[in-house]
Parts: sequence; structure tokens; C-alpha cells
Amino acid sequence: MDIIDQPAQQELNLDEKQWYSMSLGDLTLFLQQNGNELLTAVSYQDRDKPALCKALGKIEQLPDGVSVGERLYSGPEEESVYIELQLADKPYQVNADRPIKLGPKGRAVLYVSTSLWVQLKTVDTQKVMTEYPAIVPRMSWVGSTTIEGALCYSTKTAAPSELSQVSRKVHRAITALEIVNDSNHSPLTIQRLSLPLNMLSLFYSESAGYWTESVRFRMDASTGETVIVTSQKPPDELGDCTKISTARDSKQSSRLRTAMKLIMG
Amino acid sequence: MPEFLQSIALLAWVRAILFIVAGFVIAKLASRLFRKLSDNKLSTHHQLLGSMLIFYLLFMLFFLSGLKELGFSMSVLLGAAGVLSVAVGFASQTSASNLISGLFLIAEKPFEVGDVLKLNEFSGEVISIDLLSIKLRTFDNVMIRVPNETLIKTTFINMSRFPIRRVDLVIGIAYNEDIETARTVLLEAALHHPRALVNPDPFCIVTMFNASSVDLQLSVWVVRAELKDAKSELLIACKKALDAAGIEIPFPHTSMYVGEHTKPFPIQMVEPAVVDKGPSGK
Repeated sequence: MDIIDQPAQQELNLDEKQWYSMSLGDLTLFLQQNGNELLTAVSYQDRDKPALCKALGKIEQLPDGVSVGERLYSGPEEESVYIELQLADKPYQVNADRPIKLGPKGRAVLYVSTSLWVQLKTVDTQKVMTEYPAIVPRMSWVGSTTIEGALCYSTKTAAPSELSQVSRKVHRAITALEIVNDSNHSPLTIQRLSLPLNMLSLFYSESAGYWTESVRFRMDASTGETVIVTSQKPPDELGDCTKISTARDSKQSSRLRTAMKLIMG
Repeated sequence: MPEFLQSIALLAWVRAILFIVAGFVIAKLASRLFRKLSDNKLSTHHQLLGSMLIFYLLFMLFFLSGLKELGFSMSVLLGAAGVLSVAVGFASQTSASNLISGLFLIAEKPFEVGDVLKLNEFSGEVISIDLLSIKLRTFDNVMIRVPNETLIKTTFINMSRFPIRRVDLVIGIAYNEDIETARTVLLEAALHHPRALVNPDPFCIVTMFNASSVDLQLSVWVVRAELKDAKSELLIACKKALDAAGIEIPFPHTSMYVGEHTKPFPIQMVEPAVVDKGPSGK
């Protein structure tokens, strides 16, 4: 089921003074048009409940316990607002259930999924008015010490290595990670990886759902050097995919060189 | 004085004033330009220092040129300045010390505007770093002026240097409780708390056999900006988790023994005294 139209952008044509709601993951977003003012409200269900998926539709009134969160004014003129799905605004630290070991010159392809964000953007100026994560992410720290590093989100994953084993959920985007051990001698053990989602774009395919570009981590276990290369599209075996939102942080190049200790935590 | 000499003197005064006014405007513009160009590249106090330095250097150059136009000899001026600086130096030792300390602080950069400092009994946010002192705003909105010399001499703590902080919660459990169970309960509470960072992991250790309790320290890493809320919420979560697990958090108590500790405390029942409460019964 598509959560929003075409396939991940939906212009809001809301009846005046009428509450609407849509749900994705743990998030339920409520919207009401009040003249040139757009009222928003959100509620999150408990983490242990099954993920929600409900397209934008009319509701009688705001549920008990939910109150108006924000009042949005899109611009001086009547600029319309649309909903767009986007990837996270920070890197995601992907924690593997079990350590992954790669022998010298070893290579593995793993599939990891991360939750989407719902954005309200202006049509003409493309400004993000507000945004909400489909699942409230846990924060983490990626870095060799508690002094050097950066804040990121964290997710635990089984990281299956076969496409057929990937569970596709409407509120999550999948990334194909190719990990290559460039060392000739040293084996490489990976417990966690930092996935730069803020530098990736979101793609959609009717058959495969939401995907990001494929990412290749070339790591040298002996020197500690890591090169991240992003391809321009998701894996070829998915068929035709449409880019529905571009990366939040524009890339200077497709090759991102960084220290291995920063990537592996 | 002949008229032509008077006109020459007037011209010199006009030129000197023009030099000084132009110097002021150019120095102001140059320092503003520096601020604009260094925006997002330098910290606020480095910007401030750089712009002040540019302003005063340029202005002094133009000012001295103006004085030269009036016929002042630079060598005499510099000599006078030397003598004056010795006199001023003796008179303003403290200010000079603060000024030099300020320069050292700016070079060392142990804090920036917006950082929270803990200094002796005070703690507050740095609202300005000036040449002689820094200004702190305490959390109850009081301004404190701290001379730069004091900062150079004293130990102070920068509470907001790093983006993440560790919250250490000391929680006592009763002696008859199982320590391992309590540790597990506390760690679970921390691991599931939304403000606790996943990495670095939280940990829980036994710190002391205290007078009334076995003290456990639960250490949880949180985002610096959320420290206050995180500490409060974590304490609440720990209390709820321990209550749910039926683990007692004891309050301080004293055991009294009479001689041999195996003997019970002797209690004797006596008749209650009759008190005359008066006609109102109060």
C-alpha cells in the first residue's frame, strides 16, 4: 500500500477546518487547514506495537490527549505545502546482531533498513516547514573517543546478506552495503558501521519499496583507512527505481574518505 | 602672524582632522569587513579580538599621521609614550595583568561564548569575553564579572566542551536485596530510556557498602544539551523500575542494641497518664 501519492510526494488539498490524519511507523500525523494556517499535531504509539500504515484521510476530531503542536504559515502568498518522505538527517549507526568477520580481501553485501521521516515542504521554495521521524530514533555516539566523534542515530539490525531475506516495511528504506576488506593480511571484524544517510537519496519502486543508493565501504584492517563510495542508484536487480528525494547534505564527491575509527566506532 | 602662515596652519589642521575622520571610517569598515569574512570561520571571541585589533591598528596609524600633519615629531611622541607607558604601567598593573591574561585566554581558547563554566561556587553561561574580564550569566539570571587574571590562576570547569556527557546516578539498595538483580534492573531501565545513548554503553557498578544501603552507580551517556532533563528522567525511571521489581531503596536508619545484640530491646507497658484537658476538652 502506498502511504502517499506519486509515489512519495503528496500536495495537500485539505478541506477548511477539517482534521486529517496519516500514520507511518509509530507516527500519526494530524493536519488541519485554517485559512493560510496549517495546524499540525503528532502522536507516537509505543515501540513494541506493530508499525502503522494509513494514507491521509479525514477524521472527526483530534483524539483525546493529542493537542495542536505547530501552526505553519507557508509564505506571504498562498504557497501550497506537500508531504515528502525523506531519509534521516544524521548518520545511522548500524549495530549488527553478531560481529561480522571478513578475511583478507573478503567481501560481503549486507542489507540494512532505516526508518523514514515525514516532511512538510513548500511547493515553490522547497523549504522544509517541519518534519517528524516515522520511528523516534535512539541517539548514539560514533567516534574513537568521547571527545572526537559525532552524534548519530542508532539501529540494531540482523543485516541479512540475501535480498530475499530482507523484510520490506513501508516506513523503512533499505540500503545495500557492500563491505570490502582491502587488507592482504589482516581479517576485519565489524560490530557497527556508520551509514551516512544524510548524504543519500531516497528511491522508490512499486515492487521493491523504498531504497537508497548502494554504498560500498572499502576498509583496510591493517591501516585503518576507509573509503566510502556511493553508487548513483539502488541495486540493479530491483529494476526501475524513481528518485523521490535528494540527499539532505549535498555531496562534494561520491567518494567520502574518512578514518576507519570514525566509521566503526 | 602673517596671513599666509595662518592659512598654512589652518590647512594642516584640516588635513589632520581629515586623516583622523577618514582613519576612523576606514578602520570601522575594515573591522566590519573582517567580521563578515570571518563569519562561520572563527569563534565569536576571536572575531571580536581580530576586529578590535584591526580597528585600533588602522585608527592609530591614521591618528599618528594626523598628528604628523600638525608638525608633531614622531620620535618625541614615541619617547613621551615610553615614559607615559611606564607611569601608566605602574598605575594600572591589575588592568595590564588582566589584559595580558585575556590575550593568553584567547590564544588558549579554553571556552567560547555560550559555554557553561563552573568557577569556585559559581556556574553560568559565558555571555561575553572581553579584554579585561569575562561575563557569566548564572542560571538564576545574575551577571558575574570574572577578571581574566582570576581565570588564568584558578581551576575552572568547562561543562559544555564536549557534545556528550556522562550522568552518574548513585542509587542505594537495601542490604537484603540481590545486587545482581538490582544491577540488571537498573541497566535495563537505562538501556530503554530514550535519552540514553546507545553507544557508549551504560554501566552499573557497586561503589560502597554505606551505612544504610549498598550503593550502586549507574552511569549513562547522554547528549549534553539534555543533561538536566535526562538526569531527572533517569532517576524517575530507576525508581519506577526498582519499585516494579520489588527492590527497596532504603532511607537512612539506625539499629539500636542494648548490650548484647541478640537480646531484644526491653519494652515495658505503663498506664497512660491522665491529663486534665479543661472544660473545652482541648
